[in-house]
Formats: sequence, structure tokens, C-alpha cells
Amino acid sequence: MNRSKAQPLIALLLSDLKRARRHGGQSLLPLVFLFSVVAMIPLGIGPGPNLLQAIAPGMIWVAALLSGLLALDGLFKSDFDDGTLEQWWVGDQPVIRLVLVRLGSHWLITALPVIVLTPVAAQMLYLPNAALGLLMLTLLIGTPILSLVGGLASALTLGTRQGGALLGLLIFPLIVPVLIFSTGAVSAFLDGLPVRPYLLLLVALLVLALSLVPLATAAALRLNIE
Amino acid sequence: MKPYLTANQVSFHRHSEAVFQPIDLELYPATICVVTGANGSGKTTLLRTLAGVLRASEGELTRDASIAFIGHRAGVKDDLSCIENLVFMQRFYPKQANRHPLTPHQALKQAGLGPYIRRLAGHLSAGQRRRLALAKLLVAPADVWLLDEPYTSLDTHACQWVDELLDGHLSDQGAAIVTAHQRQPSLARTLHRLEVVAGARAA
Amino acid sequence: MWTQIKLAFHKLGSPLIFYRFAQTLIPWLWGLTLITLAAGLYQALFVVPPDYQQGDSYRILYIHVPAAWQAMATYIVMTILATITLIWRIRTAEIMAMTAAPIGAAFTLICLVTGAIWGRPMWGTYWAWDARLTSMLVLLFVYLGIMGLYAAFDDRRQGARIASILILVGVVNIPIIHFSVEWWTTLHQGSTINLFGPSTMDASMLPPLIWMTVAVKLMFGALLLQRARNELLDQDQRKKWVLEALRMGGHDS
Repeated sequence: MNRSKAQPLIALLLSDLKRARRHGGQSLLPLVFLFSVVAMIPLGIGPGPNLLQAIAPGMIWVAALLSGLLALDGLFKSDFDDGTLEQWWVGDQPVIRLVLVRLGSHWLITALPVIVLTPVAAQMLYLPNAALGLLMLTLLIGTPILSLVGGLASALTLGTRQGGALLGLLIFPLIVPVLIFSTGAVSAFLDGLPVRPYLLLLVALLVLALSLVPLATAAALRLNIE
Repeated sequence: MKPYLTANQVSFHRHSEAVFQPIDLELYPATICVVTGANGSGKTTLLRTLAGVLRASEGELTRDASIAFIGHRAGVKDDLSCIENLVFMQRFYPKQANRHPLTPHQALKQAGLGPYIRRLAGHLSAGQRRRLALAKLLVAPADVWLLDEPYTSLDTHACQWVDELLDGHLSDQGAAIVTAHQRQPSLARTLHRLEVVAGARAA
Repeated sequence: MWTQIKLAFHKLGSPLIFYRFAQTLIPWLWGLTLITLAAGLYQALFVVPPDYQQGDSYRILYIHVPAAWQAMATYIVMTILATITLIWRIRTAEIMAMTAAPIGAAFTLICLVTGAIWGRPMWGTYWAWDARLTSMLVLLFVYLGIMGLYAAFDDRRQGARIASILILVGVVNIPIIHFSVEWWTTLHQGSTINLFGPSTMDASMLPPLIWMTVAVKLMFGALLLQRARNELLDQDQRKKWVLEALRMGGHDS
């Protein structure tokens, strides 16, 4: 990609990051959510290390998933409302790339902080240190899929009035395989089984999502603009 | 001379019904076209179709020029300052070799927003926001301007500024299509007119 | 050939022609549904002998299995309709794709409920995280998502097109869900008892299954046409063709 083609994409990324920093809370909210879930689990089921350790990967994943949902509402909505979204189709802009950039900035803003602070959450749930790296690896592969799928859901519901309520319902079936393979990898590791197949399957899912979801998202955005 | 924009029997259908009657149009450099028509006749839809925001349902539309479109919604980010908005626009729209952009500072001065450079766009008045949106035409110049009601919420002084912008643009081999149902552009040039008629609603 | 198919599409795409087509077909479909359903139920309940292990409880599978098949078949029908909707923007396809979703959800629910009832004597619990049941549960959410998305739009035609995108996304997703859930259950439980498919069935148990499957397909056709017809009349209630059609059809006039 030459420089002139990349420039609009960089401009969008920088402006997204700048606006996120201005609002501050966008990165904080998923983190607060993650830790409130992680803190509630022992309160709910008891502080026994064995039990907590067994459910830690699943719980951290579910918490990461739900925290990702929080920031989806505004993904395209503000651009839709202020008229910047329709500008994406003026001229010969590659809309799919713009979609990818927007999702990339969303991932940087909401998912990356969660991944970075996962070790703390893992400690709180007694996850063995040896499994921590693997858990973070699955999050690193899996959360971009979550961003892609979440972006699709938020594009689909863009023109609706109570779109936010639908997001969870739309995302759940799409994210089931990711959840299964990610937590499966960590469980397999704890049981001393090979984890390679899980990771390969996760990567396959990521490649599939990367190639198909932006297409569907761009189509959904367009139909909402009409 | 080749036209910048050619529309051959172009129409846009919403729900299998034409929003406006098919349009024929050839937009040449240094010409301006004013779109007229009753309320709800589809002027805005036509402009959005010409801009590429909507896909023409029928007919042939060829664009042989760079396009700038300013719609009803200003296309301005409320949580960015005036200068940040313009810096973004300058980077976001591909640079045109044949056009010479102003710097964001110069453009803001021209738009009369000099004192508000660091003010968030969300804190501007409606007229100021519109001027900020129009300043895009200076920082990211394009051959064809598609302006949807550019005079809305502008005072007399600012309206004159828009006329000056259009005049300069046309002198510079630019072209424009403008919808305006109250104030018309007052230029010492021929205004071509394009009448839009609402599509027949199928019974 | 291709142009003929396209022509047929567009013809059926006209609301009035679709309405007449549906009006003619619906009574026939219901009639055949009743006959096949009666034959199937009679055989399933009275002709087929009890299973030597499961006794009479297995008979619920004659509802469970055809419902499960129809739950999946409905999605395939919706995929075809959604494709037509997005490519050719044919309105009756749009309406049928959307009205098929609740029917698919209903069959999925029937499959889940009968599976649970059957599971009680078999597994000792109503719910087991069996691969097929879990897949079906996720499928139910897929259907609910499509219905919810469609319902969320004030503009029903825009909603139909946008929900069609979701249908197409789902057709890629559902096999992946199925595969991942299968993987997941073998990992966590070892192999569970399968709801037995026809392959393990004795030949004498097969005829009622065939009858019931045909009955369910016919019922689906009848329901789909009926719901699509009603939706069309509802959306177009102020249009001229509706008045004409109702007058000609001899309805209240």
C-alpha cells in the first residue's frame, strides 16, 4: 500500500485514538467491568483455590467478552449521527479498510488494556503462572475476533433505536466457537494435553473472521445509511 | 472538454419505488448547477446518489473528477476542536494533484473561525459549525462540490462568503451542484437549473 | 434457462401473483399435512413395537427428529431467500425469509423441548450438555437474533435486508458452532449417548419417521406461505392490489 492510500487510514486511526483519550472512560470501563466480575466470583462461590483455579480461564474469558460488549454501542453510532460515516462512501475510499481501521482502534482502546491486566485478574483467581502465557495468547488471538464480530453486530443494529439491547443476542452465537477453543486450550494445558490444535483452530477462526466479517460489516453499514 | 460528472437516466429507488424521476446531467468544469424542486422531491437523495453515498438503482453515473460532498449533517466531529477537525479532513481525503489546499489555519481564518481554533466543534453555534464544515472545501479541495443546502443557518455575511467560495472555485475550473430552497447562490455567472420531481409512488 | 428462472422469480415477486399462488397452494398443503401427519402418528403410536430398552418413551423421537431436521432445513431455505433478497431485492423473498425465522425458531424449540422430555428417562435429567442439544440451543439464539434484528427496524424492508446479511453470516457460523460444540463435548464428557438417528434404527421403525418428516415439511410449506401472505397483506393494506385481490377472492366485501 503506498503512502497516499494509507494516509486516510492513519488519519482515522489517530483521530479515533485522540477522541478515545479525550473521553478517558472508554478504556477504563472494560477494565472496571473485568475486575468487578473477577472480584464477584470468589464472593459468590467461595474463595477455595481449587475451584477458582478450575474456572479461572473461562471466567476471565467471559468477563473479557462482556467487557468488550460495553464499548460497542458507539462504534459507528456517533459517526452515523454526525454525518462523518456517509463520507466514507464519497469518492473511491476503500470502505472495508476503513472498517478494519475502526475495529483496530476499538481493539486497541478496549481489548488491549484488558489483556495487559489479565495477569492481575489471573492472580486473583489462582490461575497457575505457567498457564498465564497461554491464556494471554488466546486472548491476543481471540479478542480481535470479538472486535470483528462486535463491529458487525453494531453495524447491523446501527439504524435501530434500541440497538444496544440486541448486541448481546447477535454476538453470542458468533462468539461461541472462540470461547470454546480459547478456554479449551487453557484447560487442555492444565490437564497436560497438547494445545497446538486449539491455537491453530483459533488462528483459523481469526483468518476467517478477518476475511469475511469486514465485508458483511461494510454491507450492513451501507444498508443502514440508505 | 470532458464533463466531470455524467448522469444518464439516474434514479434511486427506496423500497422498489423511485424517490425522484430519472435525471440526466452533464456537469462541465466551471459550471454550477442549482437543484430545485418541492420539499420531499428527492433533492437530498439525488445529491447523495451523485456523491456515491447511495448507489444509483437505475441509470448510469460516471464520475471523472474528485468529489466533495457536504450533506445535511455537517460531517464534523463534536469532540474534536476546529483545527483538529480540519487537520483530520485534510489527511482523510486523498490529495488532488491539480488543486492547492490551504492550511487548516488559513482555512479557519477565511471561514471567520480564527478566534475559535481550539474550541471543540460541539461548542460552536449552528452557523459556525456549518462554516467549519464548508472549510473542508479549502483544506481538501475537490473538482466537484456537492453542497446540500449550504446556506442553512448562515447569516448574510457568511452567505456572501459561500458565494465567494463558489465563485473562486468556478474560476479555478471547479464545478458545483447546490441544493438551495431559500437563498440561491448570487453569482455573476449562469446558474444552470435542474428540476427534481418526486418519483411516482406505485399505487 | 437462466433467464426463465429469473423471470419466474420476478413474477413471483409481484405481490398479487404471489398472493394468488399462496391462496391456491395453502389449502392443498394443509390437507396433505393432515393426511401424512395422521398416517405418521398412527404408525408411530400404534403400529411400531416398543423398544426393548427404552419401552415407549422413544416414540417422542418421531416428533423430535423431524423437528430437528426442519429446524436446520428452515435455515437453508432462509439462506436461499436471503441471497435472493440481497442480490435481486425481490420483495416476496424478503418477506418469506423474515417470516420463516419464527417457524424455524418454533421447530428448534420443539426439538429442544422434546429432547428434554426424552432425556428425562434416558439421562435422568431434563437437560444434558449434549453436543446436538447444545448446537440446537445456539441455533435457537441465531433465530432469535434474526427475529429481533428484523423487529428492531421501523422500516420493515430495510430491516429485512439487514437481517438477510445476518442470515448469511449465520450460514458460515452454524457449521463452525456445530463443530466446536462437538469438540467441546467430547473433551469435557467423553462420548455421550446420542439421540439415535435413523441409521441405528430397525427397518420396521422407519416408515413413521418418513411419514412424519414429510408431514413436517408440508406443514412448514403451508405455514411459510400463510405467514408470508399475511405479512404481505399487512404491509400493503392500503395498496390497490390488496383490495382487488380480496374482492376477487370473495372475502368480506
